[in-house]
Amino acid sequence: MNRRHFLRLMLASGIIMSVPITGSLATAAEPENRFHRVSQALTGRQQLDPAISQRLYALLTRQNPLFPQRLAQLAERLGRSDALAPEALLTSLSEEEIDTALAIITPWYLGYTGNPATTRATDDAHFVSFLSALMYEPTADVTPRPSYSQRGSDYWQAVPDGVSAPPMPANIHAWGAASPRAASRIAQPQPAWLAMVEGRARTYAEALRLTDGAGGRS
Amino acid sequence: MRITASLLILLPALALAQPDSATLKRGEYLAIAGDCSACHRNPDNGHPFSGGYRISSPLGDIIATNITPSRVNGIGNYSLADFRRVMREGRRRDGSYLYPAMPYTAFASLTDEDIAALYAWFMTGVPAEDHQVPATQLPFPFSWRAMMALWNGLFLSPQPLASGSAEAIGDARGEYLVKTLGHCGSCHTPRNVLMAEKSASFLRGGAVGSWQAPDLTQARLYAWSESELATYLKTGSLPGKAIAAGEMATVVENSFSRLTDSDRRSVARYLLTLGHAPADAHAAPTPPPRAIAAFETGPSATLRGAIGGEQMSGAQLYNAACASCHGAQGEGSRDAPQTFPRLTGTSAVLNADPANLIMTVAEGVDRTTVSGHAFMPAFSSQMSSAELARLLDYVSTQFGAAGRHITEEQVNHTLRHPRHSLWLQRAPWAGAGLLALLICLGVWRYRSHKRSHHESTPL
Amino acid sequence: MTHYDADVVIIGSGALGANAAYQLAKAGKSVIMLEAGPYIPRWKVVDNYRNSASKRNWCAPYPNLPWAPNSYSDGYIEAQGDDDFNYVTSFLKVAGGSTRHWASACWRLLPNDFKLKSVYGVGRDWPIAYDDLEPWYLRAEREVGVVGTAEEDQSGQGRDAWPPRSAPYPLPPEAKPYMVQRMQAKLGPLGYQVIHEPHARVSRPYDGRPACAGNNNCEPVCPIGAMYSGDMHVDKAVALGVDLRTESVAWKLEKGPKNRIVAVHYRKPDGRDVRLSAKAFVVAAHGLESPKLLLMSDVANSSDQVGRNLMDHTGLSMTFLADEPLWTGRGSVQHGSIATRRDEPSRAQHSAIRYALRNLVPNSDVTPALLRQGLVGRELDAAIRDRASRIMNISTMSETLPSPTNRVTPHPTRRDGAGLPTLLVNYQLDSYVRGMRPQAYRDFANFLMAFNGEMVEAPTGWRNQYHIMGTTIMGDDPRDSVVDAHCRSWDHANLFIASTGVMPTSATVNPTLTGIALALRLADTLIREL
Repeated sequence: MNRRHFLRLMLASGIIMSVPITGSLATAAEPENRFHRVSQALTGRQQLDPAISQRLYALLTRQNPLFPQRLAQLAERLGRSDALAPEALLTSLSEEEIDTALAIITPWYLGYTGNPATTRATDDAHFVSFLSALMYEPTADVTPRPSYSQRGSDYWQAVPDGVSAPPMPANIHAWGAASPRAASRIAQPQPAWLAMVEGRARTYAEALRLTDGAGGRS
Repeated sequence: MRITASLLILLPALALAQPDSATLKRGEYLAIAGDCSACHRNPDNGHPFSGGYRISSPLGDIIATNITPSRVNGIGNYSLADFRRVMREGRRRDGSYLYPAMPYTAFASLTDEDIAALYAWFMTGVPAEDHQVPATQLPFPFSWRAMMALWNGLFLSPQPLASGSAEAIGDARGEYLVKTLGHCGSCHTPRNVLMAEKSASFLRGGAVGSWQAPDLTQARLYAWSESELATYLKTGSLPGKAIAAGEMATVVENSFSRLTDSDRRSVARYLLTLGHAPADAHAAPTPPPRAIAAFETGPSATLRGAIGGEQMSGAQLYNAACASCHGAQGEGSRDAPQTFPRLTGTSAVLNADPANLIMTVAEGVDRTTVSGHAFMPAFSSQMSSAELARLLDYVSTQFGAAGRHITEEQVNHTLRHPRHSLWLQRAPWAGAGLLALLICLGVWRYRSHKRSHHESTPL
Repeated sequence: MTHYDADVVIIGSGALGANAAYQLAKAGKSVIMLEAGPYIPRWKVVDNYRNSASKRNWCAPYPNLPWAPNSYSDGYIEAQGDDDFNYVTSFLKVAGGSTRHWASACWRLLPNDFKLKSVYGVGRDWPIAYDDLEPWYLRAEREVGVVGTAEEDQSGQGRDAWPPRSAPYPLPPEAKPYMVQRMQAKLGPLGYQVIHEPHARVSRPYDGRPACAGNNNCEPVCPIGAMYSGDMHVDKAVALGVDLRTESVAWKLEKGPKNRIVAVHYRKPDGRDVRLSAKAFVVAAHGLESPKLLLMSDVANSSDQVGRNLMDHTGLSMTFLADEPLWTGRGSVQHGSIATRRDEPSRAQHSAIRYALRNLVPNSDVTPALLRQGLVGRELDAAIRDRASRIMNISTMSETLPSPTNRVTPHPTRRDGAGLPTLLVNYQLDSYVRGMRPQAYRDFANFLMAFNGEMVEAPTGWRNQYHIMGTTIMGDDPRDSVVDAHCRSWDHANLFIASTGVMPTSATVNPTLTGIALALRLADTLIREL
């Protein structure tokens, strides 16, 4: 985890700049309240659910007894008065403080802490929230939060909002006899793409170098 | 020569006997508006008019008759005068009386032209089916149909109404449809103890089995516009206001959705002239935002808690069973028109009588109109009555009005609503018994009075 | 006059057992259906899912009880085999069985799938032909409500409609999602025919179920009941009087005179044992627990094939970012398929291949990596949106051949909470399925090229599809098969097996519809004989 990279991104995303650096973060009365404000500052949301905040704070504290201390430190840094220029303020964040920030941001986005397992019954993941999980917000106009339907049947045929569909055959919507027929022969694959599939190259550029540019795009 | 002559004689008669296509179409339309097949359908094969469907009345089941032109088991032998007598007086060709489950009290106000068109349709437009329908047998003394003469004398009062046109919008036309063919009062008007519609409370609300047919006057409809009401009649769906379920869903599906747009507007226009808007008209309340943490409580702590709902609150039950379609905030789906309606502000939820909310959740919705196939599963088999009650209480208080609770007793009472009312069935016996008792009492007192008088007279 | 506790005892209340129970009850037979796990209503599973941290774990929202452990239970399945593949499978132990968390793909096998040995010289033949099973395929499709089109060549060659059908699908296809349209538009010119995948998410209200509304949660549970799951037939069977006994773990089939099975013993969580007698017994406990029960009981195994010939659809999976928005997640979790390689001459050398197009809402797949990169705030949100709109996964269904060393046995030492042996599996990939890799790579290269794709996960590993087949294999010779053409044990005339474990070939399609068809057919046999 590249600390400078993280800070650049915080700056670029406007998060740090948009935090009201009035010192209220550091002086918030109870730790839960401080955690709530820090969470809002770090995620860039002003409407986080306070009850979920409380729950997440309790969970993070159980998982790491040093967390309240780390939170206080981070809050203090973020809430420092503007005696220091923001850039100087940011470069003073330690590795540990960045880790703390990520430990807070991650469960707000994912809705859980830890690492859920897909094919084992036990893992170290802990539930925080589902309806509050922020990772679904950026796509909420196009896809649903799983299990909560947004629309009725068959809406999925339409071109999603904001997408300009490339030209397609007129009967592309049809299944069955009216569905467009594929070409009768399967194309020969190009060497560069084959190299990527085989795991011999990570990117197309690498694959081209590997196959001496012998595979071009069709 | 003789053949030609008889043909020449018969031809005009044949011409008279065969109604023109305009009359037939009108008759067919009137039969849809009157929703005759709602009762007169054949539940075995789905034929719309050959009868057999059982109408559940508090006094017992009344079996709808075969009204196809079958000469054996239908109305094939009826003349126009016979048909008119059925519609206006509730009397069959053989003079016997119909029970007012057949809403002849409404049809009595049909115009002559409309009755004639209906007659033409049923006699020549509907194919004859010889389906034999069992006779209705209500318990004595209600099996004595002749008592209907008295009932009719008290409650049968046709009104002189003009029929108007199916192509022009007007509240006179609307009044005609509502009071005659629509026979809306059969469900939506409360009835007195003699099972007659209370004319002073026309359309102020009635019961249909476990369902409630709401008040259709301004007391309930003040916030509706004419076009909204017409849309509801066409599709059965006005998200945020009302959803047709139970019997009303079938009425929309079979009747209202197949009327002309003008007729639906006329009905709407007329209904909106009835009664007075409530004094404190208020908009549908917006529900308080829900605290997610109250129902997203994490994995269950116990094995039992992980497989059943005994420990789940109404909010949790709602989120588990309902929010997948109706939204986490009861907001419904995002498409327009809404596939899954929003619950906030919808009539079944706002109604002070919880019957329709209970019944909709218990039995679901299954209604097909031009706007599609609306479907909601039935939940009565998926939950215990305690769970249902908590869920319904949450829906009512969260999306309806804060204090409007629903209890498990109410849920059980609604779901177990008896088909027939033993009290009403036995009422005449109780009355007769009481009368007999009074007579005996009177006789006893008379005799004891005579005896004492006799004793006090010196010999 | 012998007293029986029931006409038929069915062990297992999944889709196959419950369908058999329902048919038997309709015919007036008395049935007791045993289920190791509990009954859990659909809405409770939804509640558990939403409150779980492990949402991509298809067993997590279902009860996992000590006496009825599911396949993910720690230490329940010990798998031995290859270095490059670890056998994992997925099944539940609840009323309604594993179809409660499937994605409901409902393909029929092709006629050639029944004749792999005769046509291609590998594997085994079924003792029946496609035409023999066709009437029951149709009934199975109607029982579960299958959506499909009868107009396509499901063998993927772009020819006339195939396989032959005696009637159309009960329900018409759903609308084609935009992503699938894009797949078809880009891959069609390269020679890959995208066809409709038949499935059991009803496209209009059917049998008391609403139409699919794109909740995109088929696995682990359809929140609205549009998608078929075995509990629907459990409910129907119980409504007709079937005695469903949950939390009842069958552990022994008791042999009697004339080699008939006379009783089944089951255990309750408190350790109490119950014995039930019946005229006939149907083992319907899916492909690993059914052979385990037979082996523990020492029945039905004169062929020494019980537990052997374990097959799955082990294959490859590629995830990439397309150069255009596809927006997976609109609709259900899977629509359409590429079946072009389902039945080629190369089946004589290596596995056939069918490609599945995944349509999950991908936010939980793309976000953790972005967080680890240190993205936050608006950058993070934008990156989530961008990646979620373009990420795509295509995986293979590849067929495996029956091999006697691929097998499941009761674990020699480990015990579960009921005191019964856990599972020991030996599963190795043979050259038949390994041999399909070069061909799959060529296809994946074409897919990647079509979308100018950025590789996220190359298809270099192996993964299972959790389709358990072969372990109680069907054949025409009692010396090398466990059941005959009617799913009846060769050794015990009144013992039947309703399981995908009877399938002698795995083909490249999900086996459940075939299993249900066989279950309906064996129910007919039982009805005739009882």
